[in-house]
Amino acid sequence: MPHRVFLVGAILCLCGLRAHAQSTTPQPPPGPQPGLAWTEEQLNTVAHHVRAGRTLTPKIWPNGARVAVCLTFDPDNLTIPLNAGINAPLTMSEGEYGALTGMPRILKFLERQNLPASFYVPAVSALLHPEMMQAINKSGRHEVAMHGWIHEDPHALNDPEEEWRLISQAMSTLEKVDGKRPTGNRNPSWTMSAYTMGLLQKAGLLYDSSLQAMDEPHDVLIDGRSTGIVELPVNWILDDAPFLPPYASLPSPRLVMQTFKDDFDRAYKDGTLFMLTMHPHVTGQRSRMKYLEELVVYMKSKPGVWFATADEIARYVKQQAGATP
Amino acid sequence: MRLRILIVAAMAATLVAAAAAQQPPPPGAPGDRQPGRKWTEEQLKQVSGAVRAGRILTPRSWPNGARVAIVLTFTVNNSANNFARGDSAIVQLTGGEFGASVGLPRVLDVLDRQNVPATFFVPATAAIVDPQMIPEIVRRQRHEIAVMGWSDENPLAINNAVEEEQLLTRATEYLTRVAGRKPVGARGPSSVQSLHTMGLLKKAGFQYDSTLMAMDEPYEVLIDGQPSGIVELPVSRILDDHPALSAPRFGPSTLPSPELVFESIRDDFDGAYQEGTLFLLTLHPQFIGMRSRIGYFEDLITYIKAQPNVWFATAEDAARYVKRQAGMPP
Repeated sequence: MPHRVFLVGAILCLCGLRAHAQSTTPQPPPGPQPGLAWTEEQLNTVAHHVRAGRTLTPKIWPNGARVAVCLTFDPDNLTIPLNAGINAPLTMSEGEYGALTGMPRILKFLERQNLPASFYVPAVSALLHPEMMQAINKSGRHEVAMHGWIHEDPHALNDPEEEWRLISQAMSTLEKVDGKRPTGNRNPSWTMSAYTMGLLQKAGLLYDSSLQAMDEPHDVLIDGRSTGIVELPVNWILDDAPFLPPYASLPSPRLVMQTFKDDFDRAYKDGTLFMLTMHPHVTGQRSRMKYLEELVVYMKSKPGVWFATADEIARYVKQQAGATP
Repeated sequence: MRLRILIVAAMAATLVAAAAAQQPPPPGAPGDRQPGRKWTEEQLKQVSGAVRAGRILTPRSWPNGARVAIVLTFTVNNSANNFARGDSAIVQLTGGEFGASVGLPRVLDVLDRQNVPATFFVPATAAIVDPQMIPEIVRRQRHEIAVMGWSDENPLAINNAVEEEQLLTRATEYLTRVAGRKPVGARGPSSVQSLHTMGLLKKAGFQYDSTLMAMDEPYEVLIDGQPSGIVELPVSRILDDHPALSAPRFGPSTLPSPELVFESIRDDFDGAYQEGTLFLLTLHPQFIGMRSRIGYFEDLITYIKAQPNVWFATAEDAARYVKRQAGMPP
């Protein structure tokens, strides 16, 4: 890993982008267009550093199910502003809503519908609201997985040592709070540095859920070699955050859930994976929960729908693909 | 004697709390835009704990056995924020003028016809330039006037407790004089609070605040972990016409379809009704007062009134009621 990563880093440096390991400042805005001068080899090195490998959708899902449905929630709560050094009262209260109001409502809903879910928890969210972690854990069927230390942006950090420190710290904190070591990861803001995937491999994780190359499970390649990490891909259009917050692009829960439903219908037809990403401070609002519940009732009305945690799905596809889990 | 000691202790606690709340977050390295990642657990707790949600104050039952409390609030800021920013651009100011001369009368008509109370948060400068507004509201004898800063300023940008207190005092005195009664509630001007704001509201003896968003039911505000005695009647940006329905180019205008916006608002009311808590709506006369919108507002009121056991109240009445039910001192 390190050799190729530093090679890519060196190329990026040569081309005028900030890629030095010790840099803690964000990348400069894209003004120049250095890529225009890249050779074919350089283009391939950059483009192929982290890529999708073979698809891992199994011939059949457990108990003959047609489609796997994975409901996921990212309780970012206070972490994004805190990481940026912001503690303004209103901003804090918006984040608190996720822990104090959104999460209890979501857990009650999952209980009522008898469904499992995966929770990608920034470690600092777990530290600031331990009662939230107890509530997730209590159900016995939900999964807690990684979502950074404090919802940091590793691409902007661009520092493999600092990134490893944060990953290790997040992992041991979640293990301590949740009682078991997380097996999966979702990178905060769905950004990754050139080092991230290698570090996740080093951490021994089973799966990741941050990339967007397909809409079904696939293997991840680093520099053309299989990592054995199962990717359960996400997509910004299967996420409440771009649409449903008040200042976002389509704050009409009915219309947004219609799109989600259409996407599910095609996943059902294709027999693949429907992965939905939500946030307690967004979907946990009263007017949003109504439509999430309608969506779930719709999906449950179809025969052969397997609701599972991301961990269960990753294990299953890995096993079916003949690799050792 | 005992009372004196309590007062002194309370004052001392306020001072300590205010001092702690004013501490800025520990700085990161120069140019580091992600300083929080280096804070210890202790620092994270201290920094994030300046102003937080305390205990839930939803009562077992609302007055007369009502299931849900409905608080209709209007932010009558018109052009006050333009004044604060020194913006005198003519066309922009007419947006605020519309709020005063067309929007507010239409809103008051609906409230008259439906016979329901409302709370109006009025920045002082908006009332100064359109002096007919407050008398028109007060004349109805059912509505509440509350504080929204001197000129819808941004207290976070001011970041100076002394200046902020002067503006708050001036605004309170002005509204008291014009409305004939001292306001007991506040909404952060520009819907923003500094780390000083909550301490200043407590010091000035406000009953409630309606700016924060940690829950969708009433709660007590904690300042540095200590109960403040201030009732928070939380707002929500999705129960606010500004993000979705503000005038295009003057505001975000993220969903300029009143039909879709009010569908979501009605769904939220249904949730509040089912949970038996609080439904607090925030509207601006300059946005909701437009012809294509005002009818949806009235339809919503009609819909809510058709449900059994709803209690329409001013923010003040709701705050006083939950305080009493929770056994908090008045």
